Amino acid sequence: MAGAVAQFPFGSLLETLDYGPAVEGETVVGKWLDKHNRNFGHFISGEWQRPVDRDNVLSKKPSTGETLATTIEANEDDVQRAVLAAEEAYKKWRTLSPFSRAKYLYSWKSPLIQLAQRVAPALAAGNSVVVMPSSHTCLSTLLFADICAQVGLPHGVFNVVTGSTPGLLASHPSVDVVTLAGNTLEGRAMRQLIAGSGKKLSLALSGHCPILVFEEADLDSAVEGIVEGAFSNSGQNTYSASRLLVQEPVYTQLIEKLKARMAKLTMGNNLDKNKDQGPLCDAGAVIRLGQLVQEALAEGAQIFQPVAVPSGVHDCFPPTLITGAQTSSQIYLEEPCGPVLVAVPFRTEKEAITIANHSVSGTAAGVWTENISVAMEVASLLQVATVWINTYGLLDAACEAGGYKASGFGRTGGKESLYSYMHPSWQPLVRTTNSEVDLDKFGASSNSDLLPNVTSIDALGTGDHPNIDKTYKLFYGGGQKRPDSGATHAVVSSTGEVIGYVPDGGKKDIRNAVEAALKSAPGWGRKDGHGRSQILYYLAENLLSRKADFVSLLTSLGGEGSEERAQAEVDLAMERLFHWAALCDKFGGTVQESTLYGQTWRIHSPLGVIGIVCPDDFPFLGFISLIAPAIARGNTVVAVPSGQFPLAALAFHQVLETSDVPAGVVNIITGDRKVLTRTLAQHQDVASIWYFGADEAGSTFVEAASSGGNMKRTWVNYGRHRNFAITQQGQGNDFLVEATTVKTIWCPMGDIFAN
Amino acid sequence: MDVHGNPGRDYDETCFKDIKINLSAVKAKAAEVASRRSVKKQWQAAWQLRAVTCIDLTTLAGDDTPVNVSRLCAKAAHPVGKDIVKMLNMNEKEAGLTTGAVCVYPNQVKVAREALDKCGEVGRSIPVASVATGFPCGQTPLAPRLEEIRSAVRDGASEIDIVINRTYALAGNWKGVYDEVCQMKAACGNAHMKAILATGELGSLRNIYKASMVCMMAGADFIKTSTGKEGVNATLVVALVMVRSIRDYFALTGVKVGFKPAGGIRTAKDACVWLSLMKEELGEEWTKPNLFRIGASALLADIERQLYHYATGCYPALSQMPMG
Repeated sequence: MAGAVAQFPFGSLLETLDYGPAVEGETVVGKWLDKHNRNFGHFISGEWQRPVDRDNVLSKKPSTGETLATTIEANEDDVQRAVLAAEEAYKKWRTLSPFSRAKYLYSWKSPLIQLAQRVAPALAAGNSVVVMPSSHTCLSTLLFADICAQVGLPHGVFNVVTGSTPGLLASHPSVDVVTLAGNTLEGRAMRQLIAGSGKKLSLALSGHCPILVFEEADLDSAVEGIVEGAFSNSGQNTYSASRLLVQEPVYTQLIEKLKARMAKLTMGNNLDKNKDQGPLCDAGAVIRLGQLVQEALAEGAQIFQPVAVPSGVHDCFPPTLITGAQTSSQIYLEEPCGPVLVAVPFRTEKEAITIANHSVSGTAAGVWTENISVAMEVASLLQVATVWINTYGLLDAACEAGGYKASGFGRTGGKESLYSYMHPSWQPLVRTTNSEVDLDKFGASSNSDLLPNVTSIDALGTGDHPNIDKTYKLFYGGGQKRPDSGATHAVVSSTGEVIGYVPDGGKKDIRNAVEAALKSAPGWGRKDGHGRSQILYYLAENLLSRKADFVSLLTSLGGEGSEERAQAEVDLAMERLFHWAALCDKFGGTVQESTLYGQTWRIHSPLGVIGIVCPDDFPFLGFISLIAPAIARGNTVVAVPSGQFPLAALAFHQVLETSDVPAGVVNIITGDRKVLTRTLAQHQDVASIWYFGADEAGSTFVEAASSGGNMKRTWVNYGRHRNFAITQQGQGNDFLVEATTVKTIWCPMGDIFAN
Repeated sequence: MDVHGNPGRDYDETCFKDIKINLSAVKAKAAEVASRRSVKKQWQAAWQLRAVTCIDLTTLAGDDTPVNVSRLCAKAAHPVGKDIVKMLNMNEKEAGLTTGAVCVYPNQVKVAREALDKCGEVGRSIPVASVATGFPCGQTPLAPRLEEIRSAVRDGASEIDIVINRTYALAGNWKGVYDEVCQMKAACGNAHMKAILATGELGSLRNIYKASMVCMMAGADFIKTSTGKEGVNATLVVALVMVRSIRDYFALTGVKVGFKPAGGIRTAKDACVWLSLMKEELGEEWTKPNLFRIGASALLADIERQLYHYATGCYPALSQMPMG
């Protein structure tokens, strides 16, 4: 007998049709915890290690606050041991895999799915891994470690150290790759911490994601998608929706439906299947959210919280809908990281895009409409890494997900996630030695020597054949411009001869150039690839017709064999232009097979404005090799040419002007390279910086400065020489990867359900 | 029944013409309905008993005769075996539960009515529902279809399950559907009308929504998914569209229309999912037999077995359950 008699009679049960509790059993988990005496050390080299004298960190059950287990806080020794174990394991593990590139990985705030998304590609690419999970949610990672031990993963390939100081692990010299999932502040700190170290970094940071509902949407389904997107996992996913943009004609109706749906949500013990929402991971968030909502109320917004907070369950915050707030309200601006959704109406598709893109974040967005033209256009214009059309929150190991703008860079899932854990075979892992830089001082003031150099007077050539020196100008917005400073400085040949004067551009000139680049970016990015390729071919042709000029200009630089060198450089530059012209319409993306019944597209979108600081050597080839792939893939550029010999790059404006390149697509600024680099790196409209200066410090500065504001992507050389004359290094696959960002668009399909 | 009778309203295409329904999103929601909630222990038993009261215990076969129809009626009056009732310690009122109705062809209405009346007070309280109007295809002229209704009502049916004209529906002639259903409603008189949409033959979810709205406007007291004879019968996907239309109609008119899924619902677990769907999408009121019916024949036996298991902890053989 099932002992059922105690549950009779039914009493009111037959009348009310309540769900009753449906709580997940905790027995198995309890047994596992008991097996470890509810006391965990680090998982290093296939075994549990519990050094003494470490601080304890308690892992608590969120709904009750009851302590589930004790974990320890790692110190330097622990990290050292884990990294050594991983290093040792890497020697064997890499040979098992065809890739074997980067070595270690570090991840945090990783519930199981985030862990899997990162560990799997890292291991597949031949890395060994050290993980530091968030101290809020580390038990699932420890269970994963236990499973790794049981499935026979070689010792040391996967290691876990627990603790709350991710910097300890990330800054360890033997770590080559750092990946982090967390909030924006943590991401910025990490970017800064490892700036200039040569470590590869990928960041998946908080999202602040919008859902856009258009008038032709299936409103009932949209409501379900909104509830799922905003309130599942209590709104704590990086892709949780916190902004709801609704087209005016259906705004009232949608909000009514959403409110009715929200009233059906339940809150309580997170292990109870019949509760939609449980406690937040972070107790502090409850207070913070409460204050945020109160502020919104004071500002005149309407608060809808239909679900009562259950008594006896810790740290719950109810699903909350805010209406009547504006896009300038604090509640709209601040990312909640919790179950709070702010609804805002919009009038037109164009306005919806403007509002959605008016954000520092760019993780994901939902689009609801039955109108395929609207859906596809909106999906392509949204500045986010993932777009879900008529669905929300789908993930697949084969499909890239990640961030755009301040939501980070690097991807989990798909081919792109493997790139995060690999490096080109020709380029050994970098170890910087002189990368220290004073961030406040780098490029803060100009060092240009603008006074005429006395010794060079002779070199100007006097007497019967005076040289007519040429004064170059900056080139931006489609025209030649004088520098804001009004100053120029001389460029001299290897024999000390002045061969021209170049403008001393500065902050203001960069500002103007970025403005021009930004203005032309949408049009150029949207231009069809074939159209762009025609322009690049035209560039190459026009360069060919002016080949002699460029050869002679480069030859004037002087030095032994300079003419042959110049000849080769111009030839290669033409080759590059032809190469990238051909690739203008051949890297748009692919259809990615996934679990979805429908289409999942991975689109290679342009980044926007790219700031390119060219190498000093290869003064022309370096410049062309860098700008050509950038503009081929629809970006606009602000280029800072070689400091030693910027003339050929500046002279290129003539070719640009005669080749139908729209104004603002290529902009060229000379001047003090540090000042220009600083300005570009700190300019929030610049999406990415490519830095190929000769010094390590410049790379460090670029990476560190990019931790602020829009969290730009960076591609720096850490002071290493790059031989642009070699095909692999001068037009390799990495140019394409750096010139694009992957956007994944999910579009479920189907209308057939029966006959 | 009169408390929720639907007087219908004038034909108004604006209520459904521009409906947008996304199949993949509805499918995702349907999958969630099937798994998001769970009922266990005594709650589960209570839900199963509720499901029993919502069953239209059905036989619709060419070989129906008074023999099996009477057997069915007896089962409808005593759907849960006496030993289980006793083990569950149910009180007199609870023990008096019956199915929602019995559902038969027009020719069996008289037999069914008489058989139920012989089952005492509980039997007399059970309505006889009759399918009509050229069930299942509706491919006969309107006059005999209407006459079928009148005849069933005369024979004692108090609920009529009509089928809509799919020829009109697929051609987009919704006014034609409306006009026919209005006449059927008139033919029903005081009998309650359930409109069967035959969703498996309507081609798109949009058509299902339109058919639902048109039938409710024409006065349907219930809308019903299917005859049980189409290729695709009662699915949660179809149900979501129909219950949402009921919600919209209620918002529009204040009239509560009932819902009847039919065909393919065979297990106690399924029944609980359907009850959960009604509770979540429409509210608790729509989980009772005046607004919710399940058209089924095999379901009852499975519920009985689950109740037996709940009471005893053992799984019974089907032959242990009194045959219906």
